[in-house]
Amino acid sequence: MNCHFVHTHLLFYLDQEISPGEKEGLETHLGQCSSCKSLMEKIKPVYEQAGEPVSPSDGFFERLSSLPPGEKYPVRHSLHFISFVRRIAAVILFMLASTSLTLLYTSGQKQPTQYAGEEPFFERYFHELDEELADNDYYFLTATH
Amino acid sequence: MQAPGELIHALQQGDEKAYATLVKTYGQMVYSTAFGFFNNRTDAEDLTQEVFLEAFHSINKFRGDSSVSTWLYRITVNKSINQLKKNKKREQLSGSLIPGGERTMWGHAKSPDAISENLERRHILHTAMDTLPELQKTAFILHKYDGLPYKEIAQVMNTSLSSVESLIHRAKINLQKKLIHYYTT
Ligand SMILES: [Zn+2]
Repeated sequence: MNCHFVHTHLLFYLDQEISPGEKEGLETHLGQCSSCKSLMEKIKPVYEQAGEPVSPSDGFFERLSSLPPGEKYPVRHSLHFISFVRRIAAVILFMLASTSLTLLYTSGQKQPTQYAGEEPFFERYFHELDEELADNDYYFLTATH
Repeated sequence: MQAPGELIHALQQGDEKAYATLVKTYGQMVYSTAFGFFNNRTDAEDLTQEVFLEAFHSINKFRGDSSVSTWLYRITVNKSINQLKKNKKREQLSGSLIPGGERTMWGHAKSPDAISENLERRHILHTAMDTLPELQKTAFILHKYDGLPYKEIAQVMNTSLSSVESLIHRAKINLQKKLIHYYTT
């Protein structure tokens, strides 16, 4: 065993993923090589931090479970705001469109079919906006439930 | 404790008590995973909130093909990675404006402000973990922070058992290199 072996098997030694023979050889080397011994002494406590129990602030889970779930839930303010604005805009556009269509029908000067082309535009606009918002929540793993 | 199937059914009926049970049963699990990704309480708590909110909103899409925990792990991993990407983008935009060199790789770890030795050690580990490719990091966190068996990690990550073995092996090799580099230079 040499320094190179220690450098390439350090974490596997700590995780007990090397053979008993390798373990013995590595430990013998640590007894003879002060730089490897010192390295092991530094890295061991650092690596042991992985998976140390962690806890949130006091009462976090209680707060989380007592909050009413649903739209009022206080997360993602920005996205909720966008979606709110989008809905308001959709309502206004719908009202404008229906009012103008009604006027056209009642005046009887023009056929509303001439204006039917307008609707897909708005639909397309909101569809694109939807896609844009969805892109922000890009999922790298396929979400099969 | 409620059986997972009953819990899901109750949630699908809009039962708010079931939501509380979901949080109580799986809250720590989600929080630990999120903490593995962020290494700080605030971000881990924010993410945990988002995970349960999403779970609640998409509960009707849950068909029981996977276990509740696998489903929640998947939401947690996806959200964590997306959030880290956003954070990285933000850091890239503002990084040059932040004084004090905090953006250098080990900058914070070597600062004298570390509250305790363990906090500093954890920071060193996470700085090294942050350099891992996404999939290696995910597999490593699910393995080390959640103690999941490889088979379950494969289910969460939608991949094969051998891929998980390889990801974790490579993650350890990369971490080892980073840590040795940190302590020998
Ligand atoms: Zn040596």
